[in-house]
Amino acid sequence: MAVVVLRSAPLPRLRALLQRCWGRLQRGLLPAVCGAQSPPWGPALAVQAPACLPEPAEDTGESNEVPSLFDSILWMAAPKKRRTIEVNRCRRRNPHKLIKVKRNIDVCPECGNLKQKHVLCGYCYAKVKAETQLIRKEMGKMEGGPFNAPTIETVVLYDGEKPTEKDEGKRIIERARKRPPWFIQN
Amino acid sequence: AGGAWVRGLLGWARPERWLASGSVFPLACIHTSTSLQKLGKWEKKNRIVYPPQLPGEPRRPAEIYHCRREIKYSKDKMWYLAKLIKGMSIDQALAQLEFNDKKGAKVIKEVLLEAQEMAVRNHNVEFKSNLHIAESLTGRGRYVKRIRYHGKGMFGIMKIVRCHYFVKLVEGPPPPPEPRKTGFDQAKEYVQQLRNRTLVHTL
Repeated sequence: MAVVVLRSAPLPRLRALLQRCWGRLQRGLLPAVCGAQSPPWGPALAVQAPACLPEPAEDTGESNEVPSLFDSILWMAAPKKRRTIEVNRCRRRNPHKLIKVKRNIDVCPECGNLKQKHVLCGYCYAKVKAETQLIRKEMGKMEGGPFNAPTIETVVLYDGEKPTEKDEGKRIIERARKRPPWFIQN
Repeated sequence: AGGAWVRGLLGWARPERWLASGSVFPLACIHTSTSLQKLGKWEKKNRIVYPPQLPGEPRRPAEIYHCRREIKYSKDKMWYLAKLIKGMSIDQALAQLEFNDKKGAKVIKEVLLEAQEMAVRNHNVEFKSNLHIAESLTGRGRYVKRIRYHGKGMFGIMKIVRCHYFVKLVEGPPPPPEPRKTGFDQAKEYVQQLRNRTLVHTL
């Protein structure tokens, strides 16, 4: 008959199974202990069995292993209840989520548009940028190709302006328009 | 006789039904008109005509309703901008929207400028700065469902989201903001409610 030898620390499921088997065996072997319910019996069949049950292999190895995805799915975070619209509104309309009123807006003294105190006026910047683009186009026409920038300074002259003694050795760019008031001549 | 008829009208506003159909007699209305898509309720609010005010009454401030439909933006995100400009004067609102980085800010700024222009041209508003925003709302537009392709042959269904924006400008300076209710006030109200209770169905 098989002799059950319990190892020191089998897996909990296996241990429960063994306990149940052992309990059934006990009840079968010693009916007098529980109550005389079963009729007198004798050995029905004797089977050659190994001396001890095959021990669960790799016992220590499995306890170190990280639980697989099938186990970890059971303890993944998931919402328990639907968030009500009242709770959602409290979160969405909390003052920290509302847009704050900006108090650093001023009027540009040059053009009268609005500007932020620490930022250049957008309108003035755009008009300077447009004029600079045109000057650069003129310079491109004079140079004729890439990598032809001269090593001398450049001076921009508008309608009716003559180069002075200071502009002797400089390259001159002509612009066919009146000098804009914000482009001061040195 | 005409004057008596006008004076006989009740004090409430009469919605102007005649202008919409284009003719006075309902029998003559054979609709061959190429009218625009069905006008929404907000657009029709600009059409109400009040009876002339009596000499003693205080001047009724002009109200201008304007809206833009099917803006390609989310109504929840637009709501934050609408909440920002609620109750501000129109100049302050335009300043705040100009320096806001959101996509809806540009749209709302256009709507406000259009409404200001309409106010001066059609609604007899004297100064274009003398307007304030009484109401500003967002609404849900028509959503369209599309497939969003993921990896490994998976797909999701995404909603292309659109919104409407409604604004009501009223002539006059903006009303002063209401003071926040203190805890003491709320407690006093609660105690007053308890004191107002009476016994019912008793002697």
